[in-house]
Amino acid sequence: MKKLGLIFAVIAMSLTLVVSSFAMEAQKEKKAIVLAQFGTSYPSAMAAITGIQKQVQDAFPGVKVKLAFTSYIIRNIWHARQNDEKFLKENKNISEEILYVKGPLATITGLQDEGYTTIIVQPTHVFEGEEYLDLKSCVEGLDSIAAVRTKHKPFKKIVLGRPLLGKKGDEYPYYKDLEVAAKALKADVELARKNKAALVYMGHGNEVLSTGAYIEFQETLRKMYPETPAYVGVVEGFPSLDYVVAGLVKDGIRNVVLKPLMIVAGDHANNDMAGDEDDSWKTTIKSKGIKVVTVIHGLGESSEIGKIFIQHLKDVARDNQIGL
Amino acid sequence: MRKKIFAVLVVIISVLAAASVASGKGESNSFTDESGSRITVKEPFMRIISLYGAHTENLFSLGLDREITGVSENEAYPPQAMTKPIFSYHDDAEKFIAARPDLVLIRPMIAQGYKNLTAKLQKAGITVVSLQPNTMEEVYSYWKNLGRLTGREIQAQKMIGQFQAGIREINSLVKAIPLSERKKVYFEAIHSKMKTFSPSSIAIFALKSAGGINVAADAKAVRGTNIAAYGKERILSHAKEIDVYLAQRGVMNRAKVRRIMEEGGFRAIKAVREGKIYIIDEKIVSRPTLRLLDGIYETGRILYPERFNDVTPLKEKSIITRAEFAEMFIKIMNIPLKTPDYRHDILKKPDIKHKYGDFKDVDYAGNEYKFIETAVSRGLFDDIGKYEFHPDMPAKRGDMAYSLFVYFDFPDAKSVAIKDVHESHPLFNQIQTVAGLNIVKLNKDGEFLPDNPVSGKELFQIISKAKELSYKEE
Repeated sequence: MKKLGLIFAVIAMSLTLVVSSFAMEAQKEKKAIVLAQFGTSYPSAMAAITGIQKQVQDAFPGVKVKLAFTSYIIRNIWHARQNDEKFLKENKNISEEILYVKGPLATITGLQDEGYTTIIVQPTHVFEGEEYLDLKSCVEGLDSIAAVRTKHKPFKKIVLGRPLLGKKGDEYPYYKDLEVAAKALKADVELARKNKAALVYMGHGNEVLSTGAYIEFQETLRKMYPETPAYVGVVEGFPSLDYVVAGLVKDGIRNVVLKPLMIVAGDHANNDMAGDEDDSWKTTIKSKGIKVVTVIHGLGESSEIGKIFIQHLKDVARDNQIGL
Repeated sequence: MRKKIFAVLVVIISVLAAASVASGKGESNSFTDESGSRITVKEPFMRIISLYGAHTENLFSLGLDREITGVSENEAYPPQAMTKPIFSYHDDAEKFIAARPDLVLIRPMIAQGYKNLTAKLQKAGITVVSLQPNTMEEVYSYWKNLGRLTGREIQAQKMIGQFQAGIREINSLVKAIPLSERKKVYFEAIHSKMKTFSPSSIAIFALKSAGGINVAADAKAVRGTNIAAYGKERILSHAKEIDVYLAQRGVMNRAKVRRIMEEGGFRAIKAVREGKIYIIDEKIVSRPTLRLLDGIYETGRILYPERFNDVTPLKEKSIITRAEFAEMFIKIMNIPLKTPDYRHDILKKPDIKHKYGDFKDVDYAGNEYKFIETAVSRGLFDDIGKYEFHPDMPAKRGDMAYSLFVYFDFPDAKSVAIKDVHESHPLFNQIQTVAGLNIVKLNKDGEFLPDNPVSGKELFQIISKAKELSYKEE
């Protein structure tokens, strides 16, 4: 009888050991997703960002999902609201996370400090441009931190998902990402068609590296929706507004639906695109006798775009053997 | 003999009079600057470096140009300022000395923060003068002192006269507003710190001159500045009485309507709830230059649009010129006045068509320029040159169709047959739209007559009709 008791005790002990070692394993495997973007200071424009965050959280319920804003100015505006009782009372939908939002580097290291050693950084950037490449350097830098004992490496795994319009390389051909994005934007094409108008997108662009993705995206849209003329231009770099306008005039376009090809409809959408000054996109296009309807909504407000980022997260997780 | 004596006397008297005028009607040619230094002007200064935009603008207003040897880094008005070498108080004294100025004009902020620089310049024999008027009274003596320094006392006096005439004109408009209709205003200087202007500041002078009542009259100036700390609680204590929320926009306050609207607690403010939030350029309300008149006028338009946008005299004109067209359009639509951009913004756009202040045929000391530049900045004119606007030429009906099309958002128009405007006409779409919507009527022969002029009455009716049909909100 005593023997039986001992056997039970042994079994019970070993079970406890198994359970606790399992728990330890789980602790080692704390995983987080960081959604990195430029940011916006307007509570009313936050929907585009928090919408994507919620979609991602719903897709990966067991994983911590954090936001990071790359803009220092925007972060400061949020921080100043932390103790502004009146603001908080009126903006109950604004979470503590946004009030204390940090840049990607601080967000990642903060998570590491809390024991998250497997981190997927998913930018909500549109193309593989300056912001994406800087973020990539940051992630690669953190990933390269070594330790004498492998188990002391600060990050077990830290990886980066690809932007909306894809990235270079042969694992995920960028032109397929262009097609996926073009499909997701069908509602915009429909809107233009209903208005008997051409669709003009204004992207951000860049002056320090090639922005070919945009012009190729224009061709993808034209191939996919041959009945709706599509034009893609950027605020910085090529293809510029002049290039877009020359195309509209040459093609005899009379009506245009103008929308930002940006995740958030912020200052660029309100000023550069839809502003009243003579050099805004709207005024410049109208100066050619072309009617313009502006749509001031960010891409992030469409769940179709959120789905693409979720797919990019799944891809990068699978490639790196991270179970989400 | 008598005649001869008389002639000699006349000559002597006129020489004396001329001399006294030249030296500022006998006023002393020395004064004390903001640093407390006694400045005595023996000869007008000829090589001047100015480290503040308002100093520079005033020197140009005094008729100087060649004498201005250098300016500070962000200056762009008048446009000639952009052709001058740039100096900064961060630069080494050697850079200044190498440019051989005889006068460097600074502000107290520089005098206090960069004592080393000023000491080195003075040691090198350069006169350094610190100027910064904080009240309107001080503005007049400041302009006089600039005149003294440069031998332009008469021009300085003219500037004061011109400014006072402008004030009188605005006063006559304001006087007619019953006290019960006067708007109560909170004037934001720095949003993030909830600061307003001190009651004696130039900005509050501008507000009051435009007929506004400052709700923060109890604000105390931050030592030696125009700015006064106020705080959210005190702003909100006036929440129910604030009819208009006015904010200056400048380097230290990147004001945005949306940011003010979304500020915590601000929905309690009457002006915020009613959408009466307006932004005004710091350069026309806080700076001691002649364009302060534009700031006062613009404040007046914000507070009392119907009074400050009166176009009755223009409606009487049988032919409207391009300058008058601009004025009518801007007034009827109550479009905010354009002000010059900062240098770094202009430099970002190297292929810019036209720079504010650059029209050689527009009088920038007159009244029309502000409407012309505003209309041009809104893209309302198709055919402007870099330097020519042709303000006195009649506005054509075709140009009018162009402006209406650019400014308004019209619904679809049915296509109409226009006898004299065919598809090859460069303004075909625009003319089709305004004719198709019956905003501009064709004559009995079915012609639009795009090259014909337009009368004031007609233009008023057309803009009013366009406003009705458009779904654009200003």
